[in-house]
Amino acid sequence: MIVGIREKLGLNDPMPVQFIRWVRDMLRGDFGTSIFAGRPVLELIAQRLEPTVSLSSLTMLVSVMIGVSFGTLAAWRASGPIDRVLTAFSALGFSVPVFVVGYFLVYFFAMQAHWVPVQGYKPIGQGLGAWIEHLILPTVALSVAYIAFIARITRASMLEVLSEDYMRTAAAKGASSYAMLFHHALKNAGVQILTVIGISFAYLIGGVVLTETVFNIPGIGRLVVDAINNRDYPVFRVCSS
Amino acid sequence: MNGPLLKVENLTKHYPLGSGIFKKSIPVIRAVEDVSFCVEAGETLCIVGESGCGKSTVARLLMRLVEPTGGRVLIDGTDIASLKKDALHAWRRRMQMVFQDPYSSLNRRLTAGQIITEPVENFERLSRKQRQALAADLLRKVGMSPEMMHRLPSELSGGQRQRLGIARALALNPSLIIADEAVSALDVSVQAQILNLLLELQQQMGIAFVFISHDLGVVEHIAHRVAVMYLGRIVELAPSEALFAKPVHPYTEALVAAAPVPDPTRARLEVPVEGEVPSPINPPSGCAFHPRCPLAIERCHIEVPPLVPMADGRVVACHVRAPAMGMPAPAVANSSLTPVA
Amino acid sequence: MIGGGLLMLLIVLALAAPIYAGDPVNMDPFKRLQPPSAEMWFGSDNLGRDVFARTIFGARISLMVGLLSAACAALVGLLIGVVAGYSRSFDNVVMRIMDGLMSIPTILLAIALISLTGPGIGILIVAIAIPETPAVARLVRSVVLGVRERPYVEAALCGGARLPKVLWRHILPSTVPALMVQGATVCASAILTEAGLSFLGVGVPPEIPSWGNMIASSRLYLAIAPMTIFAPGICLAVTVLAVNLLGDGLRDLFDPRAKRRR
Repeated sequence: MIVGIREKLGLNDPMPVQFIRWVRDMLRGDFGTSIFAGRPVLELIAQRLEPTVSLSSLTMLVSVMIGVSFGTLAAWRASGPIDRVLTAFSALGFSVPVFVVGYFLVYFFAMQAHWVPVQGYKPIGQGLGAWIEHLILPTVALSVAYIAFIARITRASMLEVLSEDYMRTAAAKGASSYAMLFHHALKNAGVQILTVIGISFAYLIGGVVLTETVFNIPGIGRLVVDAINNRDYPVFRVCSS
Repeated sequence: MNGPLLKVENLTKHYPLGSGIFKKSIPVIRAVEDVSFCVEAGETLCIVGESGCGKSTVARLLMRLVEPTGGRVLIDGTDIASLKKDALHAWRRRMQMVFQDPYSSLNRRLTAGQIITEPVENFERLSRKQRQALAADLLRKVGMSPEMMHRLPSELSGGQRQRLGIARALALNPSLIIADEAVSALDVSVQAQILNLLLELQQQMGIAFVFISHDLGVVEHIAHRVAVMYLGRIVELAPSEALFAKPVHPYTEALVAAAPVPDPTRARLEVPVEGEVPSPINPPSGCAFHPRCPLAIERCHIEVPPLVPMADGRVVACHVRAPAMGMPAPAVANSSLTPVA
Repeated sequence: MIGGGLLMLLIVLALAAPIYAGDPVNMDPFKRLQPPSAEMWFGSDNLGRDVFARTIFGARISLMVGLLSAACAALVGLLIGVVAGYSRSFDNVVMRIMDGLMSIPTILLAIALISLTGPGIGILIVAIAIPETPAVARLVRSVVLGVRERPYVEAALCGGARLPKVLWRHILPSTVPALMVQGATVCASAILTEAGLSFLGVGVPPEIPSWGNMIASSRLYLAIAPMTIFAPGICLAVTVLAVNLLGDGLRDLFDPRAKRRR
């Protein structure tokens, strides 16, 4: 029996042959078959793509909007009361793990207040309302750390830009603080902020895995974890690339 | 021992700009181009020039802090530019360096005593007592009190720090000290003290100096001979008095004329030199100085002038001045003569 | 320095756990999912185990794994960073690998590493340390690249110092402040990763009480006994916060100018 399976999977061939076959299949669009589910990996992933893409893009949107505003606000009145509150929030947001935030949210907003469903996922095809309803808590949970991170980066790069000579020039020629902050500073700090956000995407994905577990969302994160636990290598390989 | 203490032959350093795996020719910075000179025991040779002319690179090449692109550096006839690591290690003892910035050239975590005895400890093990005796001795040599050995650099003044730098260079009893702008970071009054210290040390211990500076006032005070560099090349090398009394190369002339002179009776030449120093990435053809030279002729645009020995023992690289005042230029223009000491 | 004090307190509490905390593994089928009481301060879990005792004992695992992973990452990162800062060819190869490692999410990389061998505390520490190493290596490398051009390093070379001595005496000390600050960040991140892995069921083996394990095994009972999840969750957050605050404090200490920024 084992011999038969080995033969079927081509595991008896030398390593280079196996590798070349794998690359060749990939180029043809055949990403392999899940050993565990017995179905093509690509099909498995396609099924799971929507929840993950929904969750991560919504989180990205919320975090960038809130994070950049918080960071700008903190930089605007550096070491003032607003800055202190926001810095404290950012330190806290960094320190609370996403799944702990998740359970707190579930307990208070879903179990006690019954405002939103406890867990699960509804595809966007079944109505925007249900989709949003199921995604609110996961998005908030996942956003906390990310908002803290983006706020920190924004504040740092804004302060750096604000101390440049051309900012003093802008102030000297009488630019309003609104124009200073948004027209001159944020535009220049923006590139740096975007770069860091791009690099930290990996950081977000790590959180997605945990969030999907807490809220029982059938996404790619769960798929990867299950694949690893089942040693389902074809699935894991494609997911991580 | 016969021959000069230090002999530099056709020393060249090009810095490639970027890595050129795919391009056939990458642009290079020609920092030092075909530089030759020698230094006798107990002598002071000054190298002068504007910033960016390659004089600091020459110092770093002599110490082999950077690898030369071409040429040889001979100490007592041994080429240190080709030495392997271990042999080089031994030769470090003959030649030491004093750095420009007395702040960043001292490790701020170590005490004065640790700093100045470190070179010796690289070669031999010292007991605590020996180390203290050595530190006290070195500090006394540079005019500091031995109690200073426990201080950190941050507790010392700029002049005291530079004395430490000199003490560190003296630790190995070198025959040659290279001083790269050793006083230019100091106040004028402290500059004089340090220069006098160097002169005293030279008289007592017979140390030779290669002194790199942009300050002609300082150079005139201490130099036996002066080499003038422009865009990586030596354009004139002459005994100090001769150079200051009668500069030959038009660039030297301009430099000497531009330097403030404390003697009002001395006649001052007015030599206008216009424009900026050209880039060493893309130096002008022929004589690098020709775009700014008031005397430039057709030939200066085409041929690099060789260093031509003149009657009073100097060498000059100028198509206009050198053939007219000395011997005629040799037929092959691109070979440079080793200047006579 | 609130962070440092808080962390010391946590370490003492964790070390002293056997003296006062009670038994973390004893099961009592008659006292399942009890609310907090005088006997069991945080109540009991689904197997009737004392949540307070388990939380306190969980601190030991979290702190141990966090500190050891951070130490491993710092040490290996330091080594790689110093060599990369000094050797061009090593730099080109190894830093590309480091960049590659950095682009993989920490948790996934750790899971993949653990899946190669199976669970265990030792492999857990290694699996957490490996994804954290590149950040340390990068930081150390940048410090070394900055310091190696400094005149006092050149002066040491001129004085005949050999490379190992230059590295040890003149370059390594300059990396210490940055290394300590980064070490705190890595430690916080490592504690979070450990909890996340245990929560996913691939971290600390389930028979050992750890905060991630406790939350994972109690997730179905959130509505009935919220303390089973909140107690370890809050402890986890406070611990990570303490380490993060310590890191911030260290940075302000070593680089007062950076205080205004970040």
